[in-house]
Amino acid sequence: MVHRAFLTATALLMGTSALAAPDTLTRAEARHLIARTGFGASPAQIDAFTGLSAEAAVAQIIAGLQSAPSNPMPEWATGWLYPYEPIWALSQTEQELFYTNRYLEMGELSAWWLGEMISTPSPLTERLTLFWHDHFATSFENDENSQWMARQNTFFRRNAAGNFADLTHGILQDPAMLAYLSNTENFADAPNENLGREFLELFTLGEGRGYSEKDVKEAARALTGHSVGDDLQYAFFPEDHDGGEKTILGKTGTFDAKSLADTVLNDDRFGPYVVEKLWQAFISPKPDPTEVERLTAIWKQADLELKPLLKALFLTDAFWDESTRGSLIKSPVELIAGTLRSTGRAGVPLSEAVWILEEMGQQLFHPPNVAGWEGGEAWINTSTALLRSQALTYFIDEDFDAPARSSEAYAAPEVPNGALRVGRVFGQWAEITEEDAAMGVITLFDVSHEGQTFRSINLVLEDQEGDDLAVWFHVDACGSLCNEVTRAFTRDTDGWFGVYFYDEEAEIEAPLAPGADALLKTMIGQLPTLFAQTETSLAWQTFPEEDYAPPRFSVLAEMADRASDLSARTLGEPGALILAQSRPGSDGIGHTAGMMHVDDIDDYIDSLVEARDVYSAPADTYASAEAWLAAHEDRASAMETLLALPTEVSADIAKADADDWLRTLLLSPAYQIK
Amino acid sequence: MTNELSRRRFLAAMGAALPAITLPGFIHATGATPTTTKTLILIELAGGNDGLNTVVPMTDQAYRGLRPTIGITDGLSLDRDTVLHPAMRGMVSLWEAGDMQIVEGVGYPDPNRSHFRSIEIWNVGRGSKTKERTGWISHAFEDRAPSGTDADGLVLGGLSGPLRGQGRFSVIEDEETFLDALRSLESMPHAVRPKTTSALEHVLGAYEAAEITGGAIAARLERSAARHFEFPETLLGEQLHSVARLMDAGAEVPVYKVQLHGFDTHDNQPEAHEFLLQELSAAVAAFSKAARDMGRWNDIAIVTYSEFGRTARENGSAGTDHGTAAPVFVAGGAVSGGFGGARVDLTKLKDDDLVHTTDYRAIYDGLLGGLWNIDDQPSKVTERSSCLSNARHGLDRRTPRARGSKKMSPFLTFFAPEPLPQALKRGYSGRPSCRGAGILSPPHQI
Repeated sequence: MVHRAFLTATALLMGTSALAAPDTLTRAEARHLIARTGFGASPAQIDAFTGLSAEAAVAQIIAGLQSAPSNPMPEWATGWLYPYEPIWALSQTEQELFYTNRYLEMGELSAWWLGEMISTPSPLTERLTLFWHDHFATSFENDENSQWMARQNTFFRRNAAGNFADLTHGILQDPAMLAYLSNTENFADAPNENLGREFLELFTLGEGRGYSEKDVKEAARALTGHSVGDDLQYAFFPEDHDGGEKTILGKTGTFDAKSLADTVLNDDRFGPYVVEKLWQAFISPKPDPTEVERLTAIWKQADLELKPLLKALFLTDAFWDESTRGSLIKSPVELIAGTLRSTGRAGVPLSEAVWILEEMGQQLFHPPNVAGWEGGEAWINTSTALLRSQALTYFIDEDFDAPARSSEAYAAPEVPNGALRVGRVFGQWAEITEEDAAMGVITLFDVSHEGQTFRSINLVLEDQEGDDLAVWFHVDACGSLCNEVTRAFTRDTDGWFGVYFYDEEAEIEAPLAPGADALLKTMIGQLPTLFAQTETSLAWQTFPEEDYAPPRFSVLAEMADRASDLSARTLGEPGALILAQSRPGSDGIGHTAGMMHVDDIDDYIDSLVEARDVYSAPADTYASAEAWLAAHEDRASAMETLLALPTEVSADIAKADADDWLRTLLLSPAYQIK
Repeated sequence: MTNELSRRRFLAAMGAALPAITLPGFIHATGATPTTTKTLILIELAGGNDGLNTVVPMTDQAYRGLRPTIGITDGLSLDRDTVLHPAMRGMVSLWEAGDMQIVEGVGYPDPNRSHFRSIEIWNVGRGSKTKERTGWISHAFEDRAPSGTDADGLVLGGLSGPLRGQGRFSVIEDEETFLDALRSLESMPHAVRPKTTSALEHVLGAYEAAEITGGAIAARLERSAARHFEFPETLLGEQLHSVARLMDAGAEVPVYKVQLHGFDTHDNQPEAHEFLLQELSAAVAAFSKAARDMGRWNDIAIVTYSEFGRTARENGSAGTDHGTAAPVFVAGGAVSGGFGGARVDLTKLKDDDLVHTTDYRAIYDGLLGGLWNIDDQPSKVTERSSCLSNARHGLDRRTPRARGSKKMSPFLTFFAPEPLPQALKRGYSGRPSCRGAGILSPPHQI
């Protein structure tokens, strides 16, 4: 108490109102802090925070922030970026399967993310990741690139409570964003103002806050040339960039993406818009202008570091003022993740929750447009109100089967040691370069060998003046023709890497990683069989476009035969090859042989959804409503755990059994607000 | 497809008997106001429809200059100089029947090029300066809803927009899903409202509206024999199909709002735009047929609107960016067909963009007055002068197309066969206004 008196005296002396945040959190206040900075609140969490000072509790939440998830993302998310171009050479059914797999991945990633929200020790990390996903809104639907969305999610989490400048610079190099807002079509001689406009309007300054149409056009010029390369990663194309002088927010310079962002973030007009959005996410729908000004100053003082801002935000008078309790409507994600976290229900299949989120208007990775979700009262209308009640009823009452990883049906068959498994093969290109020289490219998808898995491998075959033959790989990412996969083959880290064949000897250009020689030997030795799989990609030959010289695939066939022959004589006999048998976990477009009937495809998809599902595993788990209720002193304190505002229950309900009592509270309209 | 499994499980579970849960039900008796049969169907073209490639000034050299690669070269003839986009076959037949007015050059002063702000400006109907968020329909109905209705309005696509605000405006996906959901939750009215915040008020209001609207619709559908209507199986087609079924069942709902999205054609516009206009046109044509079949075609007005048109000049990606003015379609059996508003002069661009000739509020005024005799003063008072100046602009300056054209009908008078609404005589006597300007030049019907 001495301590408390001292602080009070200090505050009085300093003339601040900083101590409006409570010195000793009551149970209701502890609950408020946990629920407002996370997803719901479990009785155990509330108990842990009750009695702490607001400052200490906020400090603990801020200290717990993470830059990486607690559960690893699905394996494909960090794998090689798929080259998308060759997909167009596939048959219709195969193309559909390819994109179906991308959608399956998005379902998997969404369930994974929801699972992370439910089980993470730092729910604020996920609230902020979701906040940035909403703020810098990008939809999967635009390019249907699941890996881009996964990487963007990783980026948001890494910078969730970092520095806003890093977020801003990063998002201007994010492939999903650049493609979503047409910046891949923004050229010096033909500017496209889509990203430039949203950058000022939605990402930084806010609509109507002192920039002009001219600023939008100039920002678009600054962003020209910042695009996506053949390797589907960020690339800057100097030839497309407008290096001329521009005037943005009254400053004149040659501006590119980075200096544009720096200029905007350093402008006096920047700040309040983002602070207001944070206020609306964490405090109330109506930001207090004086407080926004004060918070903006704190933020700028901290060079746009987010932690000091968040700390100040959570310690504002308004955050703790009782009048803001129950002033926010829960988003669908908060409703579902919060319910499972608060009640500690484990084992709910989250693929189902993900679908219901979509129905309730918040499909993760699919914000409706670049302004993100409208949120607030727009979450609830007649239709979604009913759906929310239905969804809660379902998740509370349904007996879900125990999590079963049903991968049996599609378990990888026994394969001999050293066998190479390949999902799909494309002949990408072939041409006669000079009279006696030829070149061709084959791409393998879904490759597994000796425990290593590759989503794609490109082989370039080159016939050098009729005698020597080379099979090339490339070490660096260099577009769809080559990719980082070759790192697995060689320790050489620069430039091309090839295997040269002379009459009776093979020369490998760079030192190989252990085990890579076996893979090389099999891959090259099996080239004729692999090439025989490229028939669907020969469709490219029939494109009737003008000036289109069809690839000379016969050249590729001949080179494949010769390479195989030379490889067998010099490197040794190849290992076994198994086609279209890659395991579902690494599934790209492989694993489709013999399943072309539409019914089979449906079953296949269902089995994959189930095999990849994620099940809720809340930070604090309670086996039943009874066990959950037993974690409270009485029913009044249990009600406090669930509701931001106290509500009356009828005498019947007050005496009902634990299940009915809990259900009634969760279905009460008051549960929809926080 | 990916969520089919979950969908099936969830629906199966919902089909099972559910425990009774408590929903608030604060039924308030509706006043006995006269019933109207007039129905407004609002179609939001979300994303910003390219008006110049929708209603195309074929013979205008300036158009060719602005649209060298994505310009429309062949379309459905509207008059000597103008064609409709070739994908809009279904709607051109409404034009030929004299049942569709194309109001040209619609926009508002000081145009905003943000999707979100601009659609809000359209939704609210009070110009670009207002901070008001109540939709123009909600506002107009505040004092004078057209009748004791099943719902003041139903939103079947997109956000509530023009229907945002107080009143019984319900958002439903389609009537069957909505009623299924309602049935699965057994309701039990509360006696009193608990202490609330405005957020909680909103939640309670949604449940209440669901009960009232749902109950009324369910009763209508139960009593009516389901008639078969042909509709395209598109998102818009299905929304309009729901509207048709509800109207046919006798639902008393003065306003329906549906949405077609995807008009933000920054790149590779031609293919996407064709697809969208085809979907729009086919769905509208199907709806007009359904309305005729049920004998309601003369009671309705179908109106399209979009947050803005697109840049006059195509960009370097075979697309267009956010622009300003665009045409609005108004269709229905009682609508006077022909051109309304005034064509934008493509040689007189401002900041390289179209200058609107017709204030969008004039359209709202015309619809409210023509359909329900509502004179919604507040939507007119704001920025009245600009409305007037634009009216003058349209009539006096006479853009090249407007001059000498017989098809120039007065903007804002959509319902020529009807007697002039009271509001016209009452609200505008003695002072010129947008709608007043409409009276100055008598309607020409096709």
